[in-house]
Amino acid sequence: MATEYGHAWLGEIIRIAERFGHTVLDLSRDAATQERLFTALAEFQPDIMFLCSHGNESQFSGQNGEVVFTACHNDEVMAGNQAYYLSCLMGEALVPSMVSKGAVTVAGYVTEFVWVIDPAYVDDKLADPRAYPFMRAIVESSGRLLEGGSWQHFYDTWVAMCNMGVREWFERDDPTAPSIVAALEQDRDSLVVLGETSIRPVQEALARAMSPLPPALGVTLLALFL
Amino acid sequence: MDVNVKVAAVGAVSAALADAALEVNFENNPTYWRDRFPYLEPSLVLPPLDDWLVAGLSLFTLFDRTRDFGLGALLYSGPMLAGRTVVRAARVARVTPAARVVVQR
Repeated sequence: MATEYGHAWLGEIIRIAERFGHTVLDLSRDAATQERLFTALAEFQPDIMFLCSHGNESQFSGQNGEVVFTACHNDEVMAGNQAYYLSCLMGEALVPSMVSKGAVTVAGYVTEFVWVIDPAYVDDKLADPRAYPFMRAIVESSGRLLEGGSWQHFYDTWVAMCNMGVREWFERDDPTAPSIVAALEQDRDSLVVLGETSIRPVQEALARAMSPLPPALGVTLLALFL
Repeated sequence: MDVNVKVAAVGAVSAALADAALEVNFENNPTYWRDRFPYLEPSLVLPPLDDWLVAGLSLFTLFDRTRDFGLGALLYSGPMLAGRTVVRAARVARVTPAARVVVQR
């Protein structure tokens, strides 16, 4: 159940990535194995990765509980890569270990990632109103990375979206509202982004080339008006 | 062309308020509203449908009796569309060439 929600949420991230024309390698369900991931790292050479599965302080698992990463054992394969792990507790040891082995930027949670669901929506998880503020925080912050933002932008959006959810649910007349607020606050404070936070995972070569254009256009139009 | 500036100003402010209301609604629930009416995005460069609706309504008010109101609304919505197109083009340029993304779930 836990990873089913993450599976659906990361599906939304895929949708945003494809809208921007990014090439997405979706290692879903039976493809979520160590072998497939390590092959992807070596051959596909991703600019950024989004991963969701069970985890603990020192391990990240794949499909059927297969251990994919273990701190100080095989996490050096993350060297040179950037990733966001939607997984419990990894921020305690595995994320710092990955960064110490050369990973550029890795984001993860230092506590268990918690959220609230409405059982009536298990067959339509994206429409679950109780899970929505959690999905929104994950999808929108990830979307910032995919549209060319930095990890700092990602983190700021994460905090802002969690706070928005807290505000929305703080006085809502719903028996689960206190749990939702508490979970959002815990998740908000639990995320850590280690490594280079100013770096932008997505190419921005053309942005630099184009960046003088909008201000130049604005100044020209202003001059015409005056 | 005689234009009642006060009526035109009311038209411009009305269009701006309608646009702002739609924008605030989207920003409050972006994940929900993305790709739903009236925020459909047929192109990443051109503004989404809600912006065109504001411009369309402005154009619609260019009838005889509401001509000055419509003119003011167009004075807002025209540059609004142009400005947002430039900003969105810059954003798309920032993420082009496209990145390689791995999702494991």
